[in-house]
Amino acid sequence: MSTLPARAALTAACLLVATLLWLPILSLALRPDPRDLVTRAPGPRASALLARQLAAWEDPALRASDLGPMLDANPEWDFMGRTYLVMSLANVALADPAQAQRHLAVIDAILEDTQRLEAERGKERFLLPYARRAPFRSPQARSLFVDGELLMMLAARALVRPDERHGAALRERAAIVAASLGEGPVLSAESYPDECWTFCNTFALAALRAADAASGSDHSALGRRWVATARERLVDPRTGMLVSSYTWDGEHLDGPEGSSIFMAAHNLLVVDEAFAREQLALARRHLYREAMGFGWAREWPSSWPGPDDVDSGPTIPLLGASAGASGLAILGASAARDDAMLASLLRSVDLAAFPTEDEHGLRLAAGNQVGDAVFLYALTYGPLWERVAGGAS
Amino acid sequence: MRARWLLAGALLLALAHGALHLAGGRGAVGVLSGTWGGDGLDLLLGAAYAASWLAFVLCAPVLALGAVLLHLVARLAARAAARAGPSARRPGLRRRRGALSAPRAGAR
Repeated sequence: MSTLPARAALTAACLLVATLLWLPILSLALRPDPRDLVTRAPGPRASALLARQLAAWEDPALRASDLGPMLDANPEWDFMGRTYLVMSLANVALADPAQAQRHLAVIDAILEDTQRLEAERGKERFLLPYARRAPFRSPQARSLFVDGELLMMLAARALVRPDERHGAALRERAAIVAASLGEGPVLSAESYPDECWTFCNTFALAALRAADAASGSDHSALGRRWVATARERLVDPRTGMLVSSYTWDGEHLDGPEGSSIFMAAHNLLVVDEAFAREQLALARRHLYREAMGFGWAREWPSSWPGPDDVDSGPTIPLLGASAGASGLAILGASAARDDAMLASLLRSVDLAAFPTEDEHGLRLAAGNQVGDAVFLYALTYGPLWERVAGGAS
Repeated sequence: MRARWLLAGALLLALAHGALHLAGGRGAVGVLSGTWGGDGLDLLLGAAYAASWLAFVLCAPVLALGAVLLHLVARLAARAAARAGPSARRPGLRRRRGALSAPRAGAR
C-alpha cells in the first residue's frame, strides 16, 4: 500500500477503530459511584460538595473568594445559590435529624443575611440591572423571583424544625406570593417588568405548598387553577413543554428552555404530579441527548432555536450541549428517579466540569457556587419534597 | 501517515496539557461559566486549559491507539509480503540476480 490516498485511508480507518475502542473505555473509567445516585443519605460526592458549601458560609474569606466573581457576573446567582443551599441543607437535615443542628445554624445565617440585604437594598440587590429600566405592570411592583425563593427558604427551615422567629415572616411572605399570583391575568407574577418566568412562578407555587405543609394553610386551589391556565396558555404548541418566559398578559416571549423546564417540572411535582411528570418526560425527549454513556441537555429544542443567555452557560457547538441546561437536567433526572440518565450526566460532569477537591471540600471548577448548590440539591433530592407532598393538604 | 507521527501527536497533547496544568490552568476554568476573578490572561489560560484537557482525554488516547493499530497493520502487511515468496520481491532484486548470472562483458 504505497499511494498517498491509500495510506491516508488506512490511517483514518485506524483512528476510527481507535475511537470506537477508547470511548467505551473512557465511559467505563468515569462510571459514577453507585452511592452518588440518589439515596436518602448523601453519597461521597454530595458529602464533599456539602463540606465545601458549609465551609464557605462559615469562613468569610472563603465565601468572599467564592462569591465575589459570581456577584460581578450575575447577582441573581448569589440569591439562587442561597436558595438551593438552604433546600439542600433541609434535605440533609430531614434525612438525618441527629446532624441537623449545624445545618440549621447555616440555614438561619443565610435567612438572616438575605432578609437583611433585602431590607437594606431592596429586591434590586438580587436582580439584574434591567429590572430598573421599566415599571412593573403590577402596582405592587414586586419580583416573584425574590418573593418565591425567600418563601421557599422560610418554609424549608420551618419543615426541618419550626421556629417562631421566622413564623411571622413565613405567613407574611406566603400572603404576598399568593396575592401576586392571583392578581395576574394568567395567574402569574412578574420577576422583571412585564416578564413572568415559568421557573419563578412554579417555584412560588411549590413554595406555597411548602408553606402549607409547614403552617397548615391551603393554597392547593391556586395551584390547580395555575396548571389549568398553563395547559391552555403557557405551553409551546410544537413540543407541549411549558415556555420559559411570557408577559404579564400571557404572551410568549421565549420558548421551552433547558435551564428552566427541568426545574419547573421539579417544582410542579408538589403542585400537580401528573402534569409535572408529563413535563419531565417531554423535557427528556426534546432536550436530553446521550452518546457512549455521556449525557447532556440542550438549551432549546430543535423547533425553537433561541439565543443563549447568562443562565445558559457555555454551549458546545455541534452537540448543542448547554452547561446550564445540563446542570438542571441532573435535578430533572433525580426528580424523575431516572438512574440511567443521572449516571450519564454524572459522567459528563466528571469529563467536562473539572471537579476539584481541596481541604474545604469539592467544587466544580468550571462552574460557580450556585452551580455547585444546584448539583448538591440534585444529589440530595428527596426528603424535603416528600415532606412537602406529605404535609400539604 | 506513519505511526510515529500519531504517537508524537499524542505526546505533544499530553505535554501541552501538563504544562498548562503546571501553570495553574485548572484554577482558571471558571471562565467557562463567566465566573473568574482574574484578568484577560486568566481568561486565555482557563480556556486553553479546558481545550487541552479535552484534547488530552479524548484525542491523545485515540492517536496513541491509532498509532499502535497502524504499526500492527504495517507489520502484518510486511509479513504477508515476505510469505508471498520471491515473485513478490522487488523488481530491482530480480534484475541484480539476473545480472549476477549473466556473463560479464569481456569475460571468457
